[in-house]
Amino acid sequence: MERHGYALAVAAVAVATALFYLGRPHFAKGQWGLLYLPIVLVIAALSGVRPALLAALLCFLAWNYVFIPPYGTFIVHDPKDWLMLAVFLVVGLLMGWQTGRLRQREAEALALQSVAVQADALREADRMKSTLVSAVSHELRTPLASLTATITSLLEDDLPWDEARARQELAAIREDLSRLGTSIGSLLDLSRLEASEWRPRLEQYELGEILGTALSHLTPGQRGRVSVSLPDDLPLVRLDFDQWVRVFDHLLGNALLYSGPESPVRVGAGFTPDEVRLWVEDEGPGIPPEERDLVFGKFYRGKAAGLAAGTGIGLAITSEIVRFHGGRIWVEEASPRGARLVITLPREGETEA
Amino acid sequence: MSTGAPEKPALILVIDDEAQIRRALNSILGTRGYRVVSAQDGPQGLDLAVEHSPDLVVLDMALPGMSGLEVCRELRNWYHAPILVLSVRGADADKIAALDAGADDYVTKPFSAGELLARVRALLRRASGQAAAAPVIQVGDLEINIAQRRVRRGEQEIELTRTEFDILAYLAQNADTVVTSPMILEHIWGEEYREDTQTLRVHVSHLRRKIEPHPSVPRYLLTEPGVGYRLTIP
Repeated sequence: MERHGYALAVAAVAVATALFYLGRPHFAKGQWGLLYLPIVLVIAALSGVRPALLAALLCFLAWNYVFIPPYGTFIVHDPKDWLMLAVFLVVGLLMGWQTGRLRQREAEALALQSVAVQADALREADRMKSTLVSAVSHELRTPLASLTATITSLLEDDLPWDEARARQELAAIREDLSRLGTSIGSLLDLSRLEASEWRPRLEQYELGEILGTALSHLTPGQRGRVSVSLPDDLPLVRLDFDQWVRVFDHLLGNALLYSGPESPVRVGAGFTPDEVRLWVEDEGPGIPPEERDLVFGKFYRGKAAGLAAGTGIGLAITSEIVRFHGGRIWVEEASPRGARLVITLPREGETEA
Repeated sequence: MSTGAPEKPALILVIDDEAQIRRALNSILGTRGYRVVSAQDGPQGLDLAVEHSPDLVVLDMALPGMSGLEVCRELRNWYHAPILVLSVRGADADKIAALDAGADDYVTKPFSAGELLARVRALLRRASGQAAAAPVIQVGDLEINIAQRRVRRGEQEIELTRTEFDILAYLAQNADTVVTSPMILEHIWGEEYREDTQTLRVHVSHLRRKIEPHPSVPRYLLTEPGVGYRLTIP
């Protein structure tokens, strides 16, 4: 940085002297000092104290050499010229010093400010991380505990081996494992989204293809609760397949989780010339108006969620993905009751960079 | 389609650095009558492949040292039997690179035994040439008569255009295996159409409307994002 400043000072004085030289016949010898001073000022503002002092010294020498008779020497005959040069040197040095210091102080203040901003961000990240760790450890430990209990019970030889019982236990184990897998997957998604490492790969798809994949992730019992009605002429949409499978995973998962065990979940879609709109609705307790924006925040779980499982990052991931695709997401009241999550997606599929 | 153990047990080479996965694969494949040899890294895997010339290789993408992709390329210099790649969720680029390097299909960890066995059976079937020669292929309740170019669901005849039938027949001959879009395009329209995925998408969409019980939510003809399609036999 500093080295650039010195080079700049030398270059500026050289260029200015060459230009001034062309005007030598038209100005008096004393006026050149006034023209040299702004150069010192500019160097001070751009590069700080020391390059400015160098600029002042160079201007002093150049002025003396080129414009003070006898030309081409550092010799000065006229005592008035001596005075002029001395005053110039003192003023130039002082100006360079003051302006340069001002600039440095500003830079320091700026640096301090950015350190403070960074510290804030770090504190926030730290707080998020500890929330994350506690949510995660809960979310991972619960199925782990249940798995350990079920499997050790199967291995215990106090009961005769019963095929039917074993199958039942194994089905429970599979459910715990899929819950574990989902949690780990969501955490991975979140960290990839936050690190901007999950760039959407946009292609044209049918919404049904995506929904079909998400439905295949559900258990047969859960699938039986979901009814889908998509219009036959629903246009293709331009989006990242995997990301939208995850959107449906979370929307269906939430709807199934937060409504009664037998309660139906409906998926629908419609379109206008500008956008495709899709929704997932349940017949659960719904989401009160004051919580409708909060649910999209990280780790927020509805007050009514109670003991229901979930890290509270599903909707945060969902809204982030929707935003990437230039769409919108919000919560409505379903009729006669329950929550309806609505997403719109632009038909042209412009995306935010 | 036969789902039991093959008559002459196929030999499968497993290359995976994680002992748990090797043990699980050994147990899943071994109890179904396959013979299994396993290697814990690329170089050992290549040696065992030369020594045994297995009927199929199950290859983990994330190997320490020599990567799965490199192993796949090395194998393909001389090895022509199927390669099934194990990848992890979120590593789509890996899957595509593996297919480009000559792998035939992939399963994403964590996979179920059913999923893995279906892929293995499908690949062995294809390698044996049985699938391509079958005059009639059954996919769920669909009966695809390749010889007569007819498709029926139960008693009901399904009318398909020439192109739709060609796509369905090609997918059925590779049932349960991923088929890339360029492969389908080349097979049906010729090499110069390899990139024309938009056209293929439209035909697939029409095909789904005719063969899927619930066309808006396909169960048979599944999309493999960024890669192509897979016709699954439920």
